Amino acid sequence: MAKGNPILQNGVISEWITPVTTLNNELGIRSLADYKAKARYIPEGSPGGYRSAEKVYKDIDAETIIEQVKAAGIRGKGGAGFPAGLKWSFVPKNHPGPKYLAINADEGEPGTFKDRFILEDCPHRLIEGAMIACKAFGAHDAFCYIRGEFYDAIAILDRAVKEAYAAGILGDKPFGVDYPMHFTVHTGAGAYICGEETSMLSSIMGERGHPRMKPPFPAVEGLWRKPTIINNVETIATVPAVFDAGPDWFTRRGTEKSPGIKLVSVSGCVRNPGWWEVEYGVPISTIIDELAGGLKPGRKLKAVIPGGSSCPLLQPAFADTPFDYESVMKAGSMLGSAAMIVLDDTVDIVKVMHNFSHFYAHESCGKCTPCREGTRWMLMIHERILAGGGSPADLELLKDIVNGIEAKSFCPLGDAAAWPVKSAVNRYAEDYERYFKAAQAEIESTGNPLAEAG
Amino acid sequence: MARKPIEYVEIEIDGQAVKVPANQVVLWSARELGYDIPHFCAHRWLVPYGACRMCLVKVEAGGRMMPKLQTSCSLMPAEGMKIWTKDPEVIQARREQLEFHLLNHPLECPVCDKGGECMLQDQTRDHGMGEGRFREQKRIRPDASMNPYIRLNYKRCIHCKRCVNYASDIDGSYFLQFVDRGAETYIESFDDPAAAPRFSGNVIDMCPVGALTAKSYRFTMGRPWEQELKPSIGALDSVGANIWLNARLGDVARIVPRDNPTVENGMLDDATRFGWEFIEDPRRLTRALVRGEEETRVSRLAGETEAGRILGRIVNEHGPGSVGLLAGAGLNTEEYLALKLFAGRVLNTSYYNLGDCMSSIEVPDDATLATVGSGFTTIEGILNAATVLTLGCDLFEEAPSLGLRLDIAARRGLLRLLNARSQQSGIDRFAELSLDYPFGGLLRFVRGLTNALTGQGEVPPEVTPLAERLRQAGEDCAIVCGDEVWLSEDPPTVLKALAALREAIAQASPDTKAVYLNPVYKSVNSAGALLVNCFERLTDGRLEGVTAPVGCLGKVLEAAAAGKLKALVIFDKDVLVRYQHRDVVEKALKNVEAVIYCGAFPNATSERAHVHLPLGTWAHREGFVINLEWRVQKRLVASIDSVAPSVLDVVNGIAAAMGQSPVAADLPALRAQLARVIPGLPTNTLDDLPDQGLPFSPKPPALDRLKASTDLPAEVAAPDGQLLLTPKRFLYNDREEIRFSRVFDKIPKPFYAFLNPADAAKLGVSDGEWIGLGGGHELELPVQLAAWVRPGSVVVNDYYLAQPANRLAGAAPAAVAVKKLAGVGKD
Ligand SMILES: Cc1cc2nc3c(=O)[nH]c(=O)nc-3n(C[C@H](O)[C@H](O)[C@H](O)COP(=O)(O)O)c2cc1C
Ligand code: SF4
Ligand code: SF4
Ligand code: FES
Repeated sequence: MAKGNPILQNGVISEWITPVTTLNNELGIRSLADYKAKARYIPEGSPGGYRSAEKVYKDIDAETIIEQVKAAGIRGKGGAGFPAGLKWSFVPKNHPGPKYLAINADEGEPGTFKDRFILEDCPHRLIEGAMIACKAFGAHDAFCYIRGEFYDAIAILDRAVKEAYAAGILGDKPFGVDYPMHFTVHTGAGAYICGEETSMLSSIMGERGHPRMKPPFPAVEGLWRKPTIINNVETIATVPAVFDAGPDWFTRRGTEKSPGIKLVSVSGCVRNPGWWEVEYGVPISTIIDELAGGLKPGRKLKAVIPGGSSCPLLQPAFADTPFDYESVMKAGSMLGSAAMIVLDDTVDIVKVMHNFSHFYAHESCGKCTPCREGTRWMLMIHERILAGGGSPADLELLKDIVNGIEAKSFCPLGDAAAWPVKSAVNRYAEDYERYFKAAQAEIESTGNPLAEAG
Repeated sequence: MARKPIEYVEIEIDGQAVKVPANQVVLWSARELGYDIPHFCAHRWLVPYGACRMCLVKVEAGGRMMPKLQTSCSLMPAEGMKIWTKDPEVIQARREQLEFHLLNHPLECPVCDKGGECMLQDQTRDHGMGEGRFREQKRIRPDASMNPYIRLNYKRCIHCKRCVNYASDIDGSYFLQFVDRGAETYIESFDDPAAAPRFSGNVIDMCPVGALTAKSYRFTMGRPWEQELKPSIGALDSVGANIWLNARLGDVARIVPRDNPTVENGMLDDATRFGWEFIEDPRRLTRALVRGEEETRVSRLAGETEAGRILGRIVNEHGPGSVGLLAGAGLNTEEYLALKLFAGRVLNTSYYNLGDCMSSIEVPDDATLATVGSGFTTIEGILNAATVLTLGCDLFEEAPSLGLRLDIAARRGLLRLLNARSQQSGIDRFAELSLDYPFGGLLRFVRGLTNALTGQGEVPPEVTPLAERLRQAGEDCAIVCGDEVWLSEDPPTVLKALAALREAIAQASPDTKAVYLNPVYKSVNSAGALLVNCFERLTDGRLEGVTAPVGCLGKVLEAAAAGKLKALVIFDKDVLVRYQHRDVVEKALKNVEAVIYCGAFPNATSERAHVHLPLGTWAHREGFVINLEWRVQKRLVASIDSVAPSVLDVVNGIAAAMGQSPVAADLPALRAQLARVIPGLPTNTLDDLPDQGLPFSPKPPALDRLKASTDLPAEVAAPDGQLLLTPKRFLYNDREEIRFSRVFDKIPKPFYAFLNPADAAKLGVSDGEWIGLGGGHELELPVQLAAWVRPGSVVVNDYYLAQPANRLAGAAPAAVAVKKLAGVGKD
């Protein structure tokens, strides 16, 4: 594993980890002047932002851009890990346009906090990435859909966009090249579902944030029924480095199938929650121990949720799993948006699932039946169990509900609601059983007929 | 037709090789083949939505099993695809989804109006697991009113979103919308109290459960299985929407669509759907009214005797041709024959006119009959045409279901809609081009457009963009015209100009294989009336004792006004209000010795009658009507207690009083006579006439090429300080169906003087203030500002009894003085 420079992040020094690369290596390069003067694409590179975009606009044709991004093996950082270059190549070549780029800055997945720092600390990196991406598939307009709660990020990005327009970087002739490029900041209103790509498109268009039927896929018919590429903020922010450091800088890092680097956000029962950029393939335990400061003294690991609240819980036995898409999948979970939630032995999984169920019942858009009804049902069952009204039949019931939602709901939000519960009832049944035993004991001591009915 | 023939692909369903249309989702194809795939959110009007997840099937495509079950409502078939609808995995999925649907459903079937015709009930029986496992609190929210017709029972809603999708994608009114999120989602209406609902009732049929119900039906009208259903035809327009008249225990309970995909496709307008109370309204005449010194109510028989006595005396004294007979266009076709026989054999007159469209003087000539009787296409043909040109009509008001279907087709890019008329209309919203011209300028516009295409004669500049598009009309083109033809001074002239336009398009557009002309008639049986009225010209057959009419409506009324006729017999036609030249009617009614009126309800004309004889409503009278595509459609009598006479009853009654034999023994006898001279019409009882109707081709006189005039009438313009009076037909007006059905009392009716805001500003009037129209303020109306009104015009409802437009209209175009009325309005 390649060693990078020591990096200071959230107060932790680690030599294991490749330094923040796609970002700047100093916090808070917000102004255009700073970005142009100080920002580096890779730690070992020379400073000077917008170099990549200028090079791309002046010298590199669309096909080559896509080739390079493909060669770097950049995978989507928003959750599914779909190769970015490949996605861009799906846009119909001879479409007369307009075509659009929609950048997903909804950052709604519980546990995820990484896009916000790109928006706040290095907004120009995102704009630069967007410019390159747009040229790759022939778009002239980028929308950045930011969740409404990110007040600061919205203001900061807005200012950066204005600066870029004023400097002629955005506008009719970026870098004097006849390739008009426009960037619009669009805010959401706090709905998790609007992070799902088709709902995001509906929301940008002013419609109700409901997912749409695929096909047609957005790359063919997206915003206003025109070809639209949707990428996560981090994905787009990773792109400029490819045109400075070259694709093999990425392929030298990470694993074969998950090359390059990824931001992880670590939260939960660790001493030092925070976010770091790591190579794919670092063991999960390394991230927890070396970066996040390990567990609190005397605690034992109970579960790791590797990719945000939508992912199944992993038992401690899988702590050494390499952190890349394939290995995490093999272990029985998902890398998702790399939002690692660490749970120690003081945590009651039933309460965690109650919390998650509450989130998903609240955030289900209500379009499709299994998710709309199933999430509410799971929530109510957890409420009842916590209130002392559970019985072993509830475990079977939860399994059935999960079955009815999984792979049968309209969009992946349903799956996201089902997976953690599915893993909890299968892998942490003893946590539930404790409640059932207590409830049974209560019945036996009081003969409460109501409890029996539950 | 323009649409490509349907291609088929072979797929396998449950191991069975089947051929299915390549352009239709698997759900519908499988269901048509008898495979029971449950569904809620899918609806044949809507685009696939994929929300309810009931229609999941197992799929192998391209030789690979798809990892997830697929929603068949969104699955397009592909050659070699394999589908499983009864696989254990599929059955399990259905049970799961059904269980989810039922979690929050109140299961109050015993008190729910949908019970018995509820998709959720049916599917639970067929696919459910028979037991509930939900022990938590159900979701509740109080009922709400969606609009004057519809009530929402929130608890029953299963969130299929059919209704919301309908309101946004089909009728485009957006009157329903989802609010909130997830399981708390509920439906809210954006009910604009000033706007009258037009197509809202269709959501009641679409709602798969009892969440949306008709206020006029729920709780009071019984259960679906108690209803006796009779096929009938909506009276609103010349499309002739196919409906079921539902009656329970002898009373009408509701009207629901009969879903004829080739006619109205189940898309009922609210006026047709909710307009049934009039059938049994107490204001309907059940006895005769005789006005001598004073007004007396007598039995029907006594009334007919009195009418017979009067008419007998007049015919005796004044000989043949002394009585005039008029009939509206809402009667059944065989009833027109009864009237024709009555005129010829009993009244001994050829002064008669049946129907309403050719309100001109002379009987339509051969060229006119050839224009309407050939070269038309079916409703489907219109909808399948590559280009549709609507001229001089507002289809949303004149033929709502046709308008809506064209609107949807244009929105989905299935056809090109072009459009020209005297003011903007609802159908403009998805039209490629919409032009307007002053009211009364239709003939000038049509001839100008024809000239532009043929390169002969004068071409007004405004027609050019339309002519350009018509030069590339695509494979076929349908011209649909409407009210402005019938409101013109001489409809036959306009029709012949349209026929010339049809030929000009065919010549000018090289790729176009066919051009059709489809007039939208004024009434449900205008075509039937025209057919019988003019059958001498349409067939070689002769009926004994029947003479051809000497002229049209205008001719009869003018003869009466001139004192030539001594009596007028009027069947179901409020001529005093409905004929443009009110002065002529006034004079006619005054100058005859007697007016005999026959109709279900009192109206302006009947009040001038010496004898008013009762007549059943269309729900009381069996017969067949003919729609704008010349489809013969049947109306059976509703299963209701009230009985009311038919036209045949009345004419036989009068004949008997005159000492004459009946014109026909019964309706089958009439039909037999009619079918003998006009082959293709139903004979005998209507049992043989299929429910979905029978296409019929009139045989108009053959014609050599039409010699069309290229002369442009003068441009229409109102003098300074005046506005062009534009009477316009609206869905809600003073028709009997509306006036005597209480449900419509709550609907805001368009009884206004509609003014363009620019004209209103010049006059210094605003919304709700009153204006007087005409030198003597013949019409006094409140103003409503409307951007759709062409500047320089004032639009008024053409059927408003309190302020009838024909006090002013006369021959179109009419310019009128307009003045603000001080001290009235803005209450
Ligand atoms: C319910 C749901 C929520 C999502 N939320 C986000 C989000 O907040 N941010 C994001 O980038 N992607 C989110 N995604 C993933 C996006 O749908 C999409 O895959 C992603 O933005 C594509 O970008 P990428 O290819 O660059 O990863 C979400 C997906 C689902 C199903
Ligand atoms: S799974 Fe269904 S209800 Fe849930 S968010 Fe997606 S579409 Fe909406
Ligand atoms: S009201 Fe009826 S049609 Fe509308 S969403 Fe609910 S169940 Fe579906
Ligand atoms: S019918 Fe297919 S999802 Fe509802």
